[in-house]
Amino acid sequence: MIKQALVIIALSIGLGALRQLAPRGIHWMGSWPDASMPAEQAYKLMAKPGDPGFISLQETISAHSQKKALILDARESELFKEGHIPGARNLPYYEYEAKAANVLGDVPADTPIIIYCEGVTCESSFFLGRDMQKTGYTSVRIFYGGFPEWQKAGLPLEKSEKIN
Amino acid sequence: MKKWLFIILRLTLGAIILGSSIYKIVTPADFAHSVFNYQILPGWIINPVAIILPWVQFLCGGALIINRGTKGGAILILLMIITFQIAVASALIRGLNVACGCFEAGGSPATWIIFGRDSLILALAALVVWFQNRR
Repeated sequence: MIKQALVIIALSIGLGALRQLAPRGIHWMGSWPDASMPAEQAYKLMAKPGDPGFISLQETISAHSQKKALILDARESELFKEGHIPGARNLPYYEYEAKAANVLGDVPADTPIIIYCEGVTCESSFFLGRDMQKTGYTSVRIFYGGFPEWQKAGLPLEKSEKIN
Repeated sequence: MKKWLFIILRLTLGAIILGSSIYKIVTPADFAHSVFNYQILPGWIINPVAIILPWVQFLCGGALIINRGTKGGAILILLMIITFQIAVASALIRGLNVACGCFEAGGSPATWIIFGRDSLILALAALVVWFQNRR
């Protein structure tokens, strides 16, 4: 039994190595963000061509204080309730189709939109941003430092009992 | 009777596991993103896992279907499903809304429903291993 298992694993390593020679192979050594990485550097690792652009903490603060952008929180409702950027609306990325009409019904397609989630190890803001671009939103950016960067800077937070 | 039951269980499990390996083999980058999003493994090991694991699934599923190396394949499947269950549960407990990455890229998020479904597959795998070692 163990011998068979070892043979399967050895074969898998070989097939995996061969697979890397075919189209869409990936490198053995990947570059993935970790929590200690600056947000913009992490953003560049995760962004694909055509993705929403990056927005820094400072720019987010300024857009937020001047009410120049709609801020969307792509995290789970539970995390949103516990604390979020004041005035942000909650739209978990995987509920986009179900909730977009409700959350974004009053939002014109050219509204500046800033999306965030749980920081540089979280990809939800990318998923939501891509879906929004596909739907026709033209000014979407990703605050990739996200909730952790906002919280760490000691900026005000808001809690919600109810969502939106 | 029992023999037939075992054959059906073995083929079903083999088909599920082989089927779930296909998208991971076709688009390893998507699978690597799924692995990353669980935020369990350190960065350096994400790509090797995304490259090798789908083939382990493919070969184990195949082994069960053609009934060669079945004992080794079944025990590996059992271990993999237990690992996946731990990953899904830990993501849910941490409040991560990660895509499951189970059968398709992105796809449905990991939820307790997914956890329940995988528990059924886990039970199936446990049955196959048990039958196997009784023979």
